[in-house]
Amino acid sequence: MTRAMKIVFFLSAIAGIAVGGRLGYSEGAELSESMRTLEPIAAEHAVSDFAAREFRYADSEHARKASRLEISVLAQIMAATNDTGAKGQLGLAYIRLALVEKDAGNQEAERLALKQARALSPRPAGQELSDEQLEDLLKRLDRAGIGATRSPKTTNSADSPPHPSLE
Amino acid sequence: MKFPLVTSFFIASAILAGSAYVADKVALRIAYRHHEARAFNSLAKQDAQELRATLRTLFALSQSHLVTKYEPSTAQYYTALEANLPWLQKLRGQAPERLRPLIDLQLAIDYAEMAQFEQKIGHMSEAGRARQSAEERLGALGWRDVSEGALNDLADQEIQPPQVSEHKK
Repeated sequence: MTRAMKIVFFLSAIAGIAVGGRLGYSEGAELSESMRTLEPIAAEHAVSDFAAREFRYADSEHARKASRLEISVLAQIMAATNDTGAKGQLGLAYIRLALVEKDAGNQEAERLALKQARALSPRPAGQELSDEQLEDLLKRLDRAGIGATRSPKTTNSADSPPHPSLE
Repeated sequence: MKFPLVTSFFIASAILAGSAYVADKVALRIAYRHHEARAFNSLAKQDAQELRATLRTLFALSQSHLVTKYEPSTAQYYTALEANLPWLQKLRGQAPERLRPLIDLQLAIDYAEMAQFEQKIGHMSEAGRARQSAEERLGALGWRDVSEGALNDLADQEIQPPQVSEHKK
């Protein structure tokens, strides 16, 4: 191998590293940006789905834990991203917590949760939703698979044991 | 003289392509980690770390759900489920404590589906074991009904999409 060939090979390697490194770096930055958009959406859905399922099928204590976890995660996401979607989801999470507390007979906790929900939920100007309307909103969204992100069963959902509040 | 020139050209091209490929992969990884580490810098360091771990775990959980949910055929669906269970166990081991119930629920759902598949192909003992795993996890999550019927209903909810796609085919 001549000296000239060695130089050419060395320069080829340097050029390859420079081009690949530049492309890889910009790809990595773009991927990271995309993930920063996708991850909160996926996280909101996962945690809301879990809370909805626990609310529907589990006992009050576990449903309450799941609702509080949902609220905690959504509040963290909202604080970090200023995501308005997370704000709406957080409002729904407080309504779910209110329903859990209602089932458990904790009227004060229910009232506080609804107050939080009302502060977070978007509403038409000058129109205040009643407690019943808020609770009905969540039930409708859960039934439509929006409050809970996974679609509820479409074939034989009537057979599954629903949460008392959904009756 | 002509042959070494041509050979050298190809070797130099191969070196260029190879080094570019390796550098691309390495730089991508470095850039991703660098940007990820700087994400949510507006929060306190510990809060940002906690949020990053939460988002990473929940995103992985969503992916695992999608992997099994949209497999086109029953055989592929079964294979995806089989691969998904140990993967979820691993995710659970790495996940923050407070998020483990979410992974447990997904594990229970996957076990319920697995039980139904095993039962359909006559593997009764495997079906029983999978069903028991699902029951234990759902019981720990406070589910009021963990009967065989309830588990089958749960599995049906998840198995529906591939059946729809097969029907479309």
